[in-house]
Amino acid sequence: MGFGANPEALARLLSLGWPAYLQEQLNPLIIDDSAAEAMIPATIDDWDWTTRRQWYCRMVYSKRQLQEKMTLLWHEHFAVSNEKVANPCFMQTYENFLRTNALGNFRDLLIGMTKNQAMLRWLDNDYNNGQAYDSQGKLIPPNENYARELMQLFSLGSAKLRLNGTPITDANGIALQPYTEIDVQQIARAITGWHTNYDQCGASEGVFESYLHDPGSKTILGVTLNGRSGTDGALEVEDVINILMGQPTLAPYIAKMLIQKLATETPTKSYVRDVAAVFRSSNGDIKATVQALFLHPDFGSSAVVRSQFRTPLEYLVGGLRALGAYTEGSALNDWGARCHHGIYYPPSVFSFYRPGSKVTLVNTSLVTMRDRIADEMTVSWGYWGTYFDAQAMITTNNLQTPAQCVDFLTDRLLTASVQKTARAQLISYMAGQVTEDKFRGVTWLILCSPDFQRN
Amino acid sequence: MSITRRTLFKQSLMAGLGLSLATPKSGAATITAGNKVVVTIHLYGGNDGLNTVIPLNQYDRYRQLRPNLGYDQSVLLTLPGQSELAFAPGLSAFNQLYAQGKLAVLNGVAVPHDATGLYDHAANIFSYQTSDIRHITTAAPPTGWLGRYLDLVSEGLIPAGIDLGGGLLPLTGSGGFTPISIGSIDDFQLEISSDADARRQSYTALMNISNANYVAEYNRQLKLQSLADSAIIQSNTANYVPAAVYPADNYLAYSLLQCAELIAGNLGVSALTVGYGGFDTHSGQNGAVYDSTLGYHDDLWQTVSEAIYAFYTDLQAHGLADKVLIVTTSEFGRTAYENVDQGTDHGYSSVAFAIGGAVKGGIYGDYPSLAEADLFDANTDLTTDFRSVYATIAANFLNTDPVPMVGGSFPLLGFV
Repeated sequence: MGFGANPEALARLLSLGWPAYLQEQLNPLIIDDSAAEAMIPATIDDWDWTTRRQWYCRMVYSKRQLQEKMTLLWHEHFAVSNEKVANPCFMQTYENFLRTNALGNFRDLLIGMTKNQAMLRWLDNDYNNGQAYDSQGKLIPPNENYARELMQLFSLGSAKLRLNGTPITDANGIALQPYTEIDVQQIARAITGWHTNYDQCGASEGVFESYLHDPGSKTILGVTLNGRSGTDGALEVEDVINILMGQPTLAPYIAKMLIQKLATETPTKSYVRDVAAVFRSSNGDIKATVQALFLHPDFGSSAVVRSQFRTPLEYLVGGLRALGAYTEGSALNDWGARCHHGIYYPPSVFSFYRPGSKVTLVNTSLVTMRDRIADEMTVSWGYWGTYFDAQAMITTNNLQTPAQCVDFLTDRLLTASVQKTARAQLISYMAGQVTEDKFRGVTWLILCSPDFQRN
Repeated sequence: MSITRRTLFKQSLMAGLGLSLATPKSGAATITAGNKVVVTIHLYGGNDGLNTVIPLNQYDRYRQLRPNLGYDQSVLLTLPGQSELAFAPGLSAFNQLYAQGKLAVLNGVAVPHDATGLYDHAANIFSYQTSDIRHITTAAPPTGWLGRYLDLVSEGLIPAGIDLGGGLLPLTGSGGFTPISIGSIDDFQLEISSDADARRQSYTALMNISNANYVAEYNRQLKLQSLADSAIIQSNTANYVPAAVYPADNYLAYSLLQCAELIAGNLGVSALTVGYGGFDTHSGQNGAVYDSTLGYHDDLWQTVSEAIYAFYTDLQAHGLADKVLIVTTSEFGRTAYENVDQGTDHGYSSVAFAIGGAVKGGIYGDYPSLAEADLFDANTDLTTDFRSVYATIAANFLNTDPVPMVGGSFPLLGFV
């Protein structure tokens, strides 16, 4: 459920059993994470190089693996890039908001993201003026960038959905749209009035100014808002989000996205329906929804288990965790970007990949890049200060033959039995020698192996 | 059509994914790989056509729509022998190509009114990549407009379609070739820091063990293909010497240099997709750019036009210009009116360009009228269906039937 087990997490899972381990992960604050916190690099400057390293180290070291996985999931969902925000403090505040609310309520996430300072910058709702007039006295329409993505990407998607996630189509088989251009324009008006404040970059929420807000009435998705003036205008964000939360498409859209990222990219209709029903009945409680997702019979089915594409960060962080590697994050900054999964820098609001399309991060260019990185991950001199101690692994685990080395590493990295022919090939590579170099070589081969590319 | 390594690859991959494989068409593979090459450059985000090519004959109305964002007439680049249209200042490299008669300006290009998701980035990119404007997904996986051409192309040394950032879907056909992705040629090879020969040998042996799990198998097939293709690509591009100066710090120029190397390498490449982002100019469209005297959007166009200029010049010096056609696309234009943030929102029609030795330079398609009554949802309307652009490339450049590529008959524009 996280980025892949390290020996400690595996031991915890085995001692608690799956249901209790899940409960612990769903309640991250009860997990003592001080050991991981001690591994987080200090804030030495105000560049995002530092804040990204800190986040990467949390992925590698935190015992709150589900919370970290969900934080990344929400970053992918509410994709914001520092390319445009250009403020590491806003970005880290945004990241922290996502972490705090990672297993909270989806409504709070939508409201929080709409007011979030990094998001205001990113999707042009910063100083979006709802009371600007041209020389003829005509109202200039406000910027509609955020309003569109709020519906298209963050809450409703591009098609009306049944509870089971299948699109509702017209007689010609064309999917019905869950909103219109008019809805985009009307939401844009309702959420005018906000701007960022650099002096308060540690606060998630921007500042509301009534003189920037359009207080007129709006009709959004068939619901008429009378409009609010003065400081009450700020409440129109909640009004809009309440309308979106009431749309029947929202629950299956979010439930399906969660399943596609956490369990399987090709869920059955009943899987989506069951998880969406929990999302709906709990009014968007993410913890309850994710719990239902993990306890669903489909989650443990053979079609799902170890049959998903590993995303680049699942590959990179999973590899480091399985090897018990040391990192202070710099290497992951580099590797993440080269694999098209570098945090803080999604290529656009469409994120690193669309839900259900992890395959787009696996092509001839990117699989080759992963294998090049696997070489960097296993070299004896380390890469940007990231390394694993091969000799200690050999000694501590008393590995005396190539077969013992291969069995130990495949157990660690693949958590699955390896094909006999592949095992024989790995053993033959070691040519009878249990040396550090051969051990590193066989580790590289396993990281490159097709079986390490699946989750 | 004989069963080749690539068709086997495709068949096993499709079978692994539970997809049915289309029966190879009889009489397929009649076009020689690498004979003609199409390079598409997609400008991600939706390019503001109105501030790329400016209608001098509607200038007052243009400034009424764009009081802040509109260019002063004095800074615009006039085109030789042409009084109605002018280029934004950043397109000076395009002005040179226009003067050489090798650049066609394609006005008012858009998906038709009844296309799905007119103002949605992803929906329009899908339309442009597939020519399927209604997104009627059937049981068969979608194919790309160029992929349906590549189905007819003979087998070269590597797949005939290569994605360098413009996407695999435009190149995906129903059988035969599987397109590949390359970020940079240098990075498209294994790097082994120690014990290299033994590790490479074992790596190759491992990748030849088939896997029952489809995700693992999918990865294995990709790695096998990468191994084979990277070896050929490295050897056939190693001695390439560019004959033009590609601008530094210009990622598009870097991608196009890779294209030039692949085309000159006689590998049988017939279509390449390239992309460049940053055109979603909702705010600060003319805002200052570090190290540039141009505004943001114009600076983008300087980057794009200089990259294409270098690419074309390089191809020409290598005697390859006549067999390569470059076409730029973008998923939509922008609102005719500027917005309150000194930007423009998602609009409709935009301008496209075709460049190449075979291109008949000039202006094609009517520039959309900016009169209030002629606007479509407050945007410049379509005068040229994007499928006419594709059909022209198919019929007049690739010398193939445009109907299967484009999904119908559309008027040809004559730019090639």
